[in-house]
Amino acid sequence: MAFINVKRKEVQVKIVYYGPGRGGKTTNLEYIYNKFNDRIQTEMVAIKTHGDRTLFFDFMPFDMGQIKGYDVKIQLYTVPGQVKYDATRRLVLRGVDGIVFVADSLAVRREKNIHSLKNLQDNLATYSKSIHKIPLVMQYNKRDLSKQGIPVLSQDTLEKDLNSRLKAPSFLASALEGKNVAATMKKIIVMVMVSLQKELQ
Amino acid sequence: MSYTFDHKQLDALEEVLQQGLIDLGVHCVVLIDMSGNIIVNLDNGRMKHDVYSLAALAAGNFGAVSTMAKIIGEDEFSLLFHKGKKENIHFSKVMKDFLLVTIFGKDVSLGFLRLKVTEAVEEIKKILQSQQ
Amino acid sequence: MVDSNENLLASEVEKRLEDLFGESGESTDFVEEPNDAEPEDSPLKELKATILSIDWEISDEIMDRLASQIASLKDEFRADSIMVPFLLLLDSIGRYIKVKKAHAHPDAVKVLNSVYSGLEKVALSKGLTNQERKRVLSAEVQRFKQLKEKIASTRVEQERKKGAKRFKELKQKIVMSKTTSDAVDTENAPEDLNQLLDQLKAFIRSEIKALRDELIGQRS
Repeated sequence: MAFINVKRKEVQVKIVYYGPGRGGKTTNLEYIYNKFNDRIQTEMVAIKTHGDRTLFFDFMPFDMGQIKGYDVKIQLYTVPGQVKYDATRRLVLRGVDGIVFVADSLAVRREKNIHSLKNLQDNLATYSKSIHKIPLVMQYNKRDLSKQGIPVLSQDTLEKDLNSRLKAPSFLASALEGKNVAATMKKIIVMVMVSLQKELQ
Repeated sequence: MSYTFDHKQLDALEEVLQQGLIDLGVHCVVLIDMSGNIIVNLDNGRMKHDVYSLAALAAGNFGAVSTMAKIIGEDEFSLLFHKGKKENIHFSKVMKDFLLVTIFGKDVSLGFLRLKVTEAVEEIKKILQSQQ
Repeated sequence: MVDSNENLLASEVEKRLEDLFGESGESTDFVEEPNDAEPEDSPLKELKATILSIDWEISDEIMDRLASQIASLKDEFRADSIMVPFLLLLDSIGRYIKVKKAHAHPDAVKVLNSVYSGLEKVALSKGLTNQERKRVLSAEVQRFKQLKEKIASTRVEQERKKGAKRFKELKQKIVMSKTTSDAVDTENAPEDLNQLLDQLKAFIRSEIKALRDELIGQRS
């Protein structure tokens, strides 16, 4: 739920990276932070447990500057992917404007992707939001693993499993190498801004 | 889905927070929604906090604490407060969807601050409910 | 042999710990406060607990508790010519805070705490001469007086602001009624105007009264 401050001419947008545990959500944010920090001048806030797993969420705000007279502030969040943290996942989703679903291309994670997407749908429903209506981008992460001979799911399989009904824009990506990380983020920001504008008209 | 408050409401909110809390000697007040968005942010001119991160964490923290309350059979906790060496932070829920975060030093007594916050929250309620 | 190996290890570990956690130049000696003001087992034990809880929460219940504890202490110390005025001071600030709550002067709680520390010192420090006790009291009386002055001056300031605001509103109403009276609501206009005049008169009356009170207050 974007908050638009008419007095300060400011829009605050919340984008959440969702997906199964160890899928690379935090790595997406870390790449953006490391790569662009000199340009976006931000701080990344992370609440982690032992072993580097996201406990609550990672958070990275940045200022996009003026767009149509409004100062646009983007706030990127990740959720903890592990199944047991469903309550915190739901908390982070509160007031979300757009979602990047980070799917794990590892063949053995196929089921986990599907469960996590279903979980996203259920959690959005608790805020009376539909996964079919909210701005959503699919990211099929860890494509770099195929080079190492590790079995990965084909793009077709991932599309069929996750995106056959949603028909969201999708990217093959490697968050570790930074491939298509920025593209994914740019896409979701554009989609959210367009949907905000539509709503305001 | 988005929402907004008009100029008059934002002015009124700022006035309430300025007169009720900043003038009392509070260092920084932030009114946020439960998604972590900042509605109003005021300080005494000497604070340079990263209020956006603060807002995101405060909203998340409030959600976590509320869930903890439910687990132990409480509706909600009446005092949400962290005490530091120099700075303290106090949280107060405003209606269902908002949270008032107050940062203050040791020259303000918590007991008195709580009175002032309660009063400010009543005023804020009136202003927010005048929406639409 | 074994002994010296162990010593070597220990000294290396210690050195590493010193590298990591050493605090150069900082004294590790404890400076202990003189311990003669210890209210744990004293007649002030309950009063101290109440003063501390006011720091957390100001409610009628706590303020009433304060008043009743002061009352019983006044009885206990009735022969003490320093303690009685101290308790009176505390009582007076307590009552003020109870009545005013959020509208109390922000310094009131600070002065309450300060008066209590003075009182504690006088009641529990052994070996204070009467002269020293008096000095502690008069410092707190001074603080109390300053608080009273601050309260009075903010009250005048608030009245002035309130007055100015009301005046502005009324002026606006008059301007509005002037500009709209021709076009709209001509039937009710005279009535509105009369009402406005009455309000204006009442306002001027109250302003004069406030001014007079202020003047009288200054003289006395």
